[in-house]
Amino acid sequence: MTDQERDSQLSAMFDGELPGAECELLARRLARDAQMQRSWASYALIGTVLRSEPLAQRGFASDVSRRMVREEDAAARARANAAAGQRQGSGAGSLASSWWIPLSGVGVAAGVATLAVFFGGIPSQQELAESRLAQVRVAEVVLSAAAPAPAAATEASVAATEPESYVTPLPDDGRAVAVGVAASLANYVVAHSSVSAPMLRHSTLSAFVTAELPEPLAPSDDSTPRPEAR
Amino acid sequence: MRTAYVQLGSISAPGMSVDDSDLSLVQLAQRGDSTAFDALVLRYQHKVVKLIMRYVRDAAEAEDIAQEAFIKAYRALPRFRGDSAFYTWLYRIAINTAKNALAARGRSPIEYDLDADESEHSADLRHNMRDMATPEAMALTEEIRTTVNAAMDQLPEDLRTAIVLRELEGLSYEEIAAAMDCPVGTVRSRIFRAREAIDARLREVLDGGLGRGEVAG
Repeated sequence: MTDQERDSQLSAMFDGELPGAECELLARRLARDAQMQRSWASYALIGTVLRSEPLAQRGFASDVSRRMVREEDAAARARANAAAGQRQGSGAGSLASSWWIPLSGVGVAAGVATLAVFFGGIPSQQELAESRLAQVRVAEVVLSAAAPAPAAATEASVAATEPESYVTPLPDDGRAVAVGVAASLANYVVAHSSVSAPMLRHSTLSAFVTAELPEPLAPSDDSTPRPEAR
Repeated sequence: MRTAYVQLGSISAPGMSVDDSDLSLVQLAQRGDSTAFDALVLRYQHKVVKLIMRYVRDAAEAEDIAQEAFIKAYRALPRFRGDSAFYTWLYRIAINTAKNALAARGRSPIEYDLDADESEHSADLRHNMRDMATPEAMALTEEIRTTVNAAMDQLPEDLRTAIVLRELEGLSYEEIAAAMDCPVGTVRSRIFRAREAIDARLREVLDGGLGRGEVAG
């Protein structure tokens, strides 16, 4: 499908003229494709202007996003503190809970970095490029945050039941290492799902699953210890 | 020459014809994909702000309340079962949020003449919004409106008719096809091409650095 055909579908979806099954597929792409998000915002803007209706201030949607993230983050920290308090009594699992708090925060931050750019009105080409860069940077931070995690015991406990991978592999064009790392991290997050909030887990996974890594990670990043890909 | 595009009839009730696309996004958001919810915010932000401005005059306050309404909707999303259209559900949340905000401030909603022409009301709201905006925001908003209207003027007749029937009259593709005596696929293509043409002009404005980061979309 060409970009034109895809955007034509998006336009029809915006008008509620696309069959449900196609909507489902396209909605998934919309949620991860910056250009489609931009077109989506533009369709809303054009309709509003043609109807001579008032325009919401630019940045409205990104403000909503930030508030959503703040709430999720606060809730996650509250849950983490409560869980940590419980574990202090038993002394077990406190290490496991110590890493995912910043990890979840960074995972959510990935969403904010993207949305703050994409949804503050119609993003420019420069903003789209910056956002892609932000996604890569956030992925790098996530890698660093996840690396020292005491994962072995927890992973082993769930390894028997978890799927092989949660990430759709990219074409074999030299980005395989990055995909392997992302898959490993995605699996890692899922392995810790028993101690993370569902929304945060999904946000973190979404950052992995939907982020297109435009370039292989820089060689200097390889110095950061990472969990082995399975 | 600049043409004013006037809404001649009542647009179809929001949400009535977009159930499937909204539902797809809602279901994604319910599964934890918050970017899907952002797409819903983008789609309805202008409508919700406009709705709330029926209750409060202050544009900044209306935007605050609208944001609160979206946050409440996001929190309540796990409980949305799809019994009604998403926008209907959101609409109720927005109205309740506006009423609660006013009650908390010990104020009554502003009087809104339900018999007033919708386009007149929109014009009033636009003036309210304009009064509250910064000069830069006003300039960009005006530039956006001018650009969209100019782009409309330059569209071929068939594209312009199709998008006017869709956006101003709220007709379905099937109704537009009947009105324009062409296949539904042609209607879909014309509306898309019209949007692409307008969007291309908008990009020149929004990517051109005119007050970027202040107003729009």
